[in-house]
Amino acid sequence: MPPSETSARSSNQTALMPPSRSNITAIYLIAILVSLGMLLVSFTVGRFPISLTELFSLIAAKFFGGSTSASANAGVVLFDIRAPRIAAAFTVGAALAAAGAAYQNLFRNPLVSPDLLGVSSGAALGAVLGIFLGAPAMVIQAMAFGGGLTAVAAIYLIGDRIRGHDPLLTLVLTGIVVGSLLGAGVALTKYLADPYNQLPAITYWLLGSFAAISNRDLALALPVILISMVTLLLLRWRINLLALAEDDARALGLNVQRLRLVVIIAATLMTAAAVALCGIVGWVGLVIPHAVRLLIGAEFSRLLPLAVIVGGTFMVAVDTIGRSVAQIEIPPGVLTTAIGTPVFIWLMAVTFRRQQ
Amino acid sequence: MTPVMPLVAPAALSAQALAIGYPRRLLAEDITFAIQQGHALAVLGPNGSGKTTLFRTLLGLLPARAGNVSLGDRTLSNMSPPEIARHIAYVPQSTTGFFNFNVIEVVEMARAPHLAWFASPGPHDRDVAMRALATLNLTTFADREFAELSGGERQLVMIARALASEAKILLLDEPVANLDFGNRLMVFDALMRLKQDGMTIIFSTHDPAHAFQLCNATNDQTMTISRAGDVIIGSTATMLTKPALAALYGVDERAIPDYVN
Repeated sequence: MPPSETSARSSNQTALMPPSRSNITAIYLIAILVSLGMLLVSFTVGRFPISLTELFSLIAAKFFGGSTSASANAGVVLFDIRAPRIAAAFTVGAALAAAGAAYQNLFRNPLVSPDLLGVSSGAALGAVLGIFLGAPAMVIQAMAFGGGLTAVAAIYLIGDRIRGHDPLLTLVLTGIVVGSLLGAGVALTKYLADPYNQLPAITYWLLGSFAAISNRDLALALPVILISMVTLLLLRWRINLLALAEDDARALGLNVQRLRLVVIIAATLMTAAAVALCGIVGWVGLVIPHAVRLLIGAEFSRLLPLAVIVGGTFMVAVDTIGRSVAQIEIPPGVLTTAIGTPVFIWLMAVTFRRQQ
Repeated sequence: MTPVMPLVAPAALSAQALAIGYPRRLLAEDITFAIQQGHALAVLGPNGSGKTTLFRTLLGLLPARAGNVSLGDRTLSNMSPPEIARHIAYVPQSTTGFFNFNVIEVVEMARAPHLAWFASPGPHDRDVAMRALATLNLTTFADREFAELSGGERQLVMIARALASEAKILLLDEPVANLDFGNRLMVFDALMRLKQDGMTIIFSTHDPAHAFQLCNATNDQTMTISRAGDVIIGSTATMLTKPALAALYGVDERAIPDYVN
């Protein structure tokens, strides 16, 4: 069930005091330090451990020339395997968190996520069909991308056509209905798929993974995510106005329809690109922006950059844990759900307790 | 439109043979009135009679079904939404639906019609917002959380936000609905002072006392919209009589308090 608008409204009122300017600086400083620390950990830890000394000497040798004491294998692991993987994890986490923050502002509801508009289920159906048809990897990515965009376009158009009393609620409900239809499509494809070759590949993709990401995959997804992210960053102040009632925002001279459309397109492109890159990683787009909002307030200019840093760092942490704690790799989608669910329940409890 | 040299300054806001409503439902037609700058207009009428629809039409949010609205010497339908927003500011009914913004951030939102799409408010916008807060003696509220304020304080902040748009016409939809007695006094006191400072104030209300209080000078007016869509405009004293109110709201004359003649 979607959280009702009334419950969202009342929970909005009771969140934390907006922090003071010095607190904001401190929060950002801590977030950046934690992020850098996490990156160091992620570069060194893994099946093939690289010591900090090796790490720095390899980086120095790569960018400033000179010799290194580290083995050639360490260099290959660092630059060809670990670096694209970490970059992908950070990008995906940042993109999902930024898209989630944008959707939450757009729907005036702190509990919505990129999955809401059917982006993930559309992308999933596209990719699953691609695997089913035996398409090459590039085509599978493109189909995931196209599926996500088509789903959102369909939902937006249907929601637009139905003259509802509350257009946003109509959009949310349409998203859930279309999402479940796409889910049925995924289930049917899995049912029809060859259980020995295709089904494992489909299941593997649906759980998400950073293991097989190459620099070329990154080069495909990164520009889309960057352009969308920069769009949101440029519009960061104006996006605040979407939190107002529609008439109120329009009376301030805002073209609400157009801004809403731009934000939806940017957030959807980001999500679809992230899903195309690594499969479905749930909960990040819901939990990270919600937690960041509790920490730093709702003002979007403050919220968005922090959501990007925290989302990226969180995803790198999840992937590092996933590839180093067990003999087999734990899919990031499983880990984010395992971490996200209790954290979300805790966030909800905190939010509701403040209400009393 | 035939340009005519006006002998006096054009009215701050006027409507000529205006019809309001939706494509399949006309609510009222042939509405003609003019308000001079620095004067007030109260709008009374039963729920569902079209007060909000009239306001939405005056703000350019809803197209006029016929006739037109003028802001000064310009026609509303020829103005862009940001242009309209710089002339006429809207204070919506009881606002609570915010994330946790603080007061100064809420007030700064009114700078939107002055800013380009990719711009954020700068030091000048902060100054304008702080001055708007100071006008209503709200300077100490700047860093407080909007949602934590009382209903009356929130309404004052929304009025400050309207001032920060630098519009000279305020349009308030039932500004004291859901407020207790003290908060009502506070809000109306603020509106009286703004009017004395030269603001044009248009507001809807369910209480004739508010019309008597704010629209009591020469050239102040009161408008009534009946459920049948009859619109009448005149001086407050002539408009709000016991027989008129009895007819407007469908009540017995004896039920109307004696401050109404």
